[in-house]
Amino acid sequence: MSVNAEADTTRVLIVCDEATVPRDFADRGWSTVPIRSHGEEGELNLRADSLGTRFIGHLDERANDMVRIAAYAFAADQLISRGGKGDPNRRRWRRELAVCVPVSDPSFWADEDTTTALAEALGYGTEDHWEFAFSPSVIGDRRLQLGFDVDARDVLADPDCVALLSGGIDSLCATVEAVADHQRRPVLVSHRTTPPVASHQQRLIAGLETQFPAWSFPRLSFWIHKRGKEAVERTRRTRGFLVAALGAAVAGQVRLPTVLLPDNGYVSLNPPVNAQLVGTLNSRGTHPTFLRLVNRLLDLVFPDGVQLENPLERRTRTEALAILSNHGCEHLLRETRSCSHSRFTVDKPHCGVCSQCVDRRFATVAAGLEAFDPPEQYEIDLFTAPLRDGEARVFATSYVGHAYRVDTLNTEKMFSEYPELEACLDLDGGSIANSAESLAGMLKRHADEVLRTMESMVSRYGNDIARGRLPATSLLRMAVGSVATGPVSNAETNAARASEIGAGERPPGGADQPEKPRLQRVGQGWWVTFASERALIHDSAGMTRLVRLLKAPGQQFSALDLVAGSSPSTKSDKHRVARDGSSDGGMNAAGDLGEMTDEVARQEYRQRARELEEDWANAKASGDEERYEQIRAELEAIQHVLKATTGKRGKRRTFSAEHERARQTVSKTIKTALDIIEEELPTLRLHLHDSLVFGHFLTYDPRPRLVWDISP
Amino acid sequence: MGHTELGYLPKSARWQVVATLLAQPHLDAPAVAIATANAAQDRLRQLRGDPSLAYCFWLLIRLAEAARSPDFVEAAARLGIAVRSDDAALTIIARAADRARVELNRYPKSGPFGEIASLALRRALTETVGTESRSLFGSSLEDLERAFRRYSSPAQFGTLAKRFFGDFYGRTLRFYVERELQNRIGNEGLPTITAANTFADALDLHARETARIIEGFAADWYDKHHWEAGGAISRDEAQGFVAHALTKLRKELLADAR
Repeated sequence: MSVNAEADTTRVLIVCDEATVPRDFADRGWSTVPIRSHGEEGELNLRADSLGTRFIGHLDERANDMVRIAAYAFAADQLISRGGKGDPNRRRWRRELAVCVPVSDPSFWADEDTTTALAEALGYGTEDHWEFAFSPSVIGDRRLQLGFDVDARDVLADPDCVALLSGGIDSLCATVEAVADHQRRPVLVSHRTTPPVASHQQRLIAGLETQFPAWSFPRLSFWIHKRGKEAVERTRRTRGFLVAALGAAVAGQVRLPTVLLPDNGYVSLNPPVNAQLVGTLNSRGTHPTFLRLVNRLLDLVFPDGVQLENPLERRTRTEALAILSNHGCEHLLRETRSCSHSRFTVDKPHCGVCSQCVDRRFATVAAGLEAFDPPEQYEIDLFTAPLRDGEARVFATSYVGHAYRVDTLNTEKMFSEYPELEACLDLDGGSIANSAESLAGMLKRHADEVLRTMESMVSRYGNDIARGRLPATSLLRMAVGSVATGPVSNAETNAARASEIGAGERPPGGADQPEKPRLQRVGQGWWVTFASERALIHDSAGMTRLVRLLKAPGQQFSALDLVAGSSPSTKSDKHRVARDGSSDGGMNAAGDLGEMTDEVARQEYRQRARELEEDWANAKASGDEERYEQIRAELEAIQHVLKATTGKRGKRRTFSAEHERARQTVSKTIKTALDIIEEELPTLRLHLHDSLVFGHFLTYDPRPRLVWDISP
Repeated sequence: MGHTELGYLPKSARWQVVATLLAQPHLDAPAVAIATANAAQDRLRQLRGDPSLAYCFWLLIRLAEAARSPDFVEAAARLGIAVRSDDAALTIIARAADRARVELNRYPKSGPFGEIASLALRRALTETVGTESRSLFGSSLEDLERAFRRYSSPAQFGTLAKRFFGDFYGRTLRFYVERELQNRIGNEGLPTITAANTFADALDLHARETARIIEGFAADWYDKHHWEAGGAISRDEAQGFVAHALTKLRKELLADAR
């Protein structure tokens, strides 16, 4: 792949079925990826199946071109990496793709309006930058003609719309509604990626045929998938465009104006439940803006009029499920599949923790249909099982956290907090305020369904929560907090992981305990280990002084002692002084370096002591031993400061020039060492920033108390 | 549909600082902000020359300037935004966002920061109209013009710039931090999902407060360039401001650490 050195952008030239490459594209020097839909080594499998056998014709040329373009894009999408999850900046997420495609009608596709509409629709769905060059396909080359064998019985059944059937809940609900409530006669169109997908879709159709015998549910399915080597990119943001193109092509061929592309309103918007989900990191396959842009293209490709329509765009999945209940079709739920991970085990077809499974589980519980979508069908029980780090925990908690947020927002605030919603408004339709209210209302109802489900689960598992029997990383525990047990331990996380991968063993005790802060002398330097960071720091005067401080947390060292390398001051040291390094003072007229603490500081200390004495009494009365000890320690320190800075008969003590020189030397050398540490061990630098007290007397005073392992 | 692509923080030392801070018993939003800016410093430095960010800020400036022109509809048309005289304020904001969508598609190298910049633009526009009018949804073209006219004075422009960059910086920090934040729920510092929401809000607020540093010099900059450019600040000039603003934001964040 060609990677732009400036920003690591992936730039690829894609040559489909030996299409002509224009000079403008060839001169760029981009990496080339060929895509062939024929031959044994082809990268793309492109085939239409029918339920019957009678041949009635081929797709219209433009429709055929559109499906092929979508299929090439789908294959290219999977052959070119977006950089992977570990790329923290997502630098390679968006790609620049120049595609050379053979088409039947190059002049139509090369027209600026068409190319712009195509690139905008694909661009919105993928966030990639698409450019196209069209060349004539070989006339009469049947390899480039998409076989479209339609069973005559299906067509003669006189359908009145196309409905895309993925095999999920939403497409089932929309199909039932179309047939049962609106007396429509849909042709079902499916994209088949794997044989198990096809068999589930087939079982679903068989169920529909039984339930609604008045309609034959004709079905067309398309085998379009990448062939050969493993896909390097599995996000497949082009799939929405491919599915839309398939539905539109069939509608155009059978001269039907409407393609139903059902997805519930919440999933269609796919709101950013977590701030890392920016742009197409959330898929946009049925997003209102995407459908609007595809419809703009369809206006050009099908002058007779073919438009996509999402019949569930203002309904939550729970609300869509009411369609099944109203028509006695709840039992068909078992045949639907939602999991993003395409699991097709017989007994547990859903992973339970991907975005689709989470929304499905909440929706079926909220709709009162849990009996038809039991927890046993999920590999992981979302509410009670430990959720491991990563997708499982991040998505589930973000989903619930998003519901908490939305629940508190009115419509205006919602649009302010989530400006993404503006893109979903119909700008050229009716009242924008009504459109906004309708959209916000749907999101509020969804949030309410999520929170009601949480309430019902908390009620169901109340005893287990109260008695600490649920794992700390279960969704219910993370929602209500620690009732009976402590915070999440590393051991628990490991146990969850072991359980998930089927290891079934407890992790070795203490293996995940954080490493103790450590300083090891090696030659002319120190190996420093702190909070998972490790670095070799060269020895220096500042480092030596810093190590002395770290060896004795809480102990005061005079700057003079640190310069001389002698032992820390003892209690009898007459210059033991305040923690407050800012009270050092400057040289005064008398030639010394000012008072050890000024009068304002002394008054503040006295005031603080009075406050602490009150708190101390309260802590003692309430039996709060920890707080009692904290207050006692602070009081002792203040009294110590006041005593140390006051000489005989209350006269205030002053520093000498020698003390000041020592203070400057020690501060300067230690701060130089800290600058080096900042580069290598930033966490330690932050810790020391909070824990070191500078001045004529220096202290390392970590809160909470921390003991370093220092050798030698 | 409805798929998501979640990421995680790398194992490098700088990113592990962020993870470590999120595991502390007392979460400190400024410290997390500093560590995040430190870990992402190379990318943040690159954003000083980012065309998407510059475009969004430029569009914000030019919309404010358009509000001072005798014909806002015509001035908006020159920016590529087809406003109708009977459009509601929210419709105009959505049209501006749609214009930005088309422009930003040209810059894939911005990665997700293109969309983050676009969101910051929309938030700044929405807040400005919402603050100056009785209601965002009840506002008309005239209300939007009035609101933006008010923010096209040098002093008020500083507020507009602060809103934009505060939102951009907040979203940027959370874009990174929220890969790890939810993994820490259940720890002492983040006992519940609500606590994670609260911390995310604190981080956002910290970014917005940090952006105050921009307010003053934005006013001076606007005063000078608006005058020199005759009311039509160029994209190059906006790019220059963006570079300076991001540098100042970073320095302000690090100043908190010292």
